Amino acid sequence: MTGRFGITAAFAGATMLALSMPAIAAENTSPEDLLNAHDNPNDWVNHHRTYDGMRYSPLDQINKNNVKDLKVSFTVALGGSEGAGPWKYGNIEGTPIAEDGMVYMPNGWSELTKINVRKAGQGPDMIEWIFDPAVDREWAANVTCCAINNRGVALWKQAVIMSVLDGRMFRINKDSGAEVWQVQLAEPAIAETITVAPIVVKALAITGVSGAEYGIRGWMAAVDLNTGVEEWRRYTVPGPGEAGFDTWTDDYGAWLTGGGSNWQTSTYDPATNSLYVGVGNPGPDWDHEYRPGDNLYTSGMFVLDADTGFVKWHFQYTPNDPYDFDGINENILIEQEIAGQNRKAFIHADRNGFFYAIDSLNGEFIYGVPFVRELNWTTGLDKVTGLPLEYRPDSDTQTYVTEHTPNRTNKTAMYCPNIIGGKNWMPMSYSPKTGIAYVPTIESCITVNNVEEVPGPDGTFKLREWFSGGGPPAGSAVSADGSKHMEGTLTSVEISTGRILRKFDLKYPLQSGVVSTAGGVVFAARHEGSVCAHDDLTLDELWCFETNTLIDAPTMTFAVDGKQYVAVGSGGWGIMPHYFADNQPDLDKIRPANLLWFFSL
Amino acid sequence: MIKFISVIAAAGMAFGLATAIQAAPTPEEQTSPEQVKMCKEGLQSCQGGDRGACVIALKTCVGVDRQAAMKAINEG
Repeated sequence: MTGRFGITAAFAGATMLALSMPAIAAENTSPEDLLNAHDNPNDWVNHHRTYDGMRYSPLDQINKNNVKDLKVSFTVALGGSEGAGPWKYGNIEGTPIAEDGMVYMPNGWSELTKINVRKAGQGPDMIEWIFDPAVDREWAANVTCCAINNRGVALWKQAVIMSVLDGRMFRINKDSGAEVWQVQLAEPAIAETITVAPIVVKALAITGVSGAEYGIRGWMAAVDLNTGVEEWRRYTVPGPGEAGFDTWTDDYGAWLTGGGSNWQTSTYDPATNSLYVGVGNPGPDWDHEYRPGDNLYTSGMFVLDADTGFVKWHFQYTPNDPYDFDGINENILIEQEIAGQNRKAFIHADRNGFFYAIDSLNGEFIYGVPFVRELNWTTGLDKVTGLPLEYRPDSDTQTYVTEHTPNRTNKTAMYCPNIIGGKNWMPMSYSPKTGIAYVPTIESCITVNNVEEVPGPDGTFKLREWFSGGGPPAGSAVSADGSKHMEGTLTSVEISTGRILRKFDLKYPLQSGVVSTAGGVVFAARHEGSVCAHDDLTLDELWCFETNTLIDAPTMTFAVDGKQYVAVGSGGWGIMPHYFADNQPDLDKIRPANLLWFFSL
Repeated sequence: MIKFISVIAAAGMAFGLATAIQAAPTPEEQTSPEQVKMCKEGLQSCQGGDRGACVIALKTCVGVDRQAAMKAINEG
């Protein structure tokens, strides 16, 4: 029995290293500050900078003309490179939060560093504090599918809010780095972990859960930030008596192991008080006959009332998903002309290889276009419903293009895009200046073997055991004709038409999030370690800096005292080297170095 | 006419109050009666040492009941 943490507000287990006290008290981040982040170009106070998720910065000090002069300003060692469980190293996937010259960045073990940018170059004085939640490492790492991660923190009043891998959420005093409360939300005993950055709405912190490869039943939970008490919890897989339960048609309780993780931060529309939540794959991943039915709300998204968690409506991209095409990727809220009409919409680049535009008020499908070079699991989407053309509403299992669908009959199948998708969680950016979305893209297919899962005698539970219904053999992540290893592109999509404008070719999948700016620059860091800038119209490469280490984390930008910085965390040892080393042998030569890089002119 | 408007206004206020009350649902109201039953029964057996029941509780409960299920499975 591994030691466990308390389940109510407590101070045990966490430590804080107060290296120096700030000269002045930290900003009080009001709900209005989070709401109006658009009007504050200098800071990056929400996970995606703004509630709509655009990851667009109005800063333009660094622009197309001078970005070639960008240089390393300073770096901060983040620590946390220690591995645990099956993981060789701790990963870095966080987006830094920046507010009035202070930057908050966790490593994969959730050791959170507060950095005073104004004191850069002053050695340890630059570090205000480091908070260590003392994550139960082996216990959590043994049931995390996809590396040791923390994708970021949130701000609320005088607090930093952080979820950690072993399932706890913390409220931390922003000035002192001291713990105010902690609450256990996810339970690693049933393979639940948390890697997502929370979103703060009013006085609630809202988070999802990971673990669909281990047979969890996913959920979203909201915590009252004043008390640390759970305000609401909405399961992503409906149970008996709930709408959508009829999309789980077996008689042995597949819904209880139905997956539906959430590991990408939701977006939020204050006008309708709606959260736009992506929902991950159903479990088991590749044995869809185990879980007949459409399997709501998995491999899709739903819209929740932020105060109550009630489901308003949903859209499912891949019903009865046989491919592991999670729907967790971000849903960016936009308002612009689409197909000749001014629309309020969300845009979403799904793992299934389609780029969607969907009415954000009622879920009406507007368009869906392939954004990857190779896509063969379906021949297209229905122009009215947005469902795959081969979808059969009268069938409990969906085989789509049969030869490219692994199941109990067709035990081995090659399909495109890859199981990690045409795009994974790494957030794209939308520029309202250009009306273009910039998508970090994975160009690859894969072969998957189906393994039949059998319900256990005590129900369906295989606690803390892999529950995937098969998987890919080593070395199978290649192009459809087998001639190319996994590759990547930076892809630009014209939102008004859904047209793919450009693809900038990359040797490896683009594994980090993207930011676009008013300076006409798109920043994207490459998996093999190059931090690069691209022209926002042509995608031409304008500048690159080689860090000589792996990068999985999103790039962001902010300004302090009139000086713009670009920041990105390095040190990635995530799914690429762990699962796809055979397809990318060169990457094994690169060691992870957990650093936060700051660039400026 | 004024009386009619007052009645409408009073009804509207009552509706608003009801809406306000509904805006803060109890844990039971957040889910279905069927799952509340599964949760309560699972939690009871879980606290008696039935680990399988703990799992049912953890996958159907919300709020304090789920907290109790987490405590029980880790102490069991």
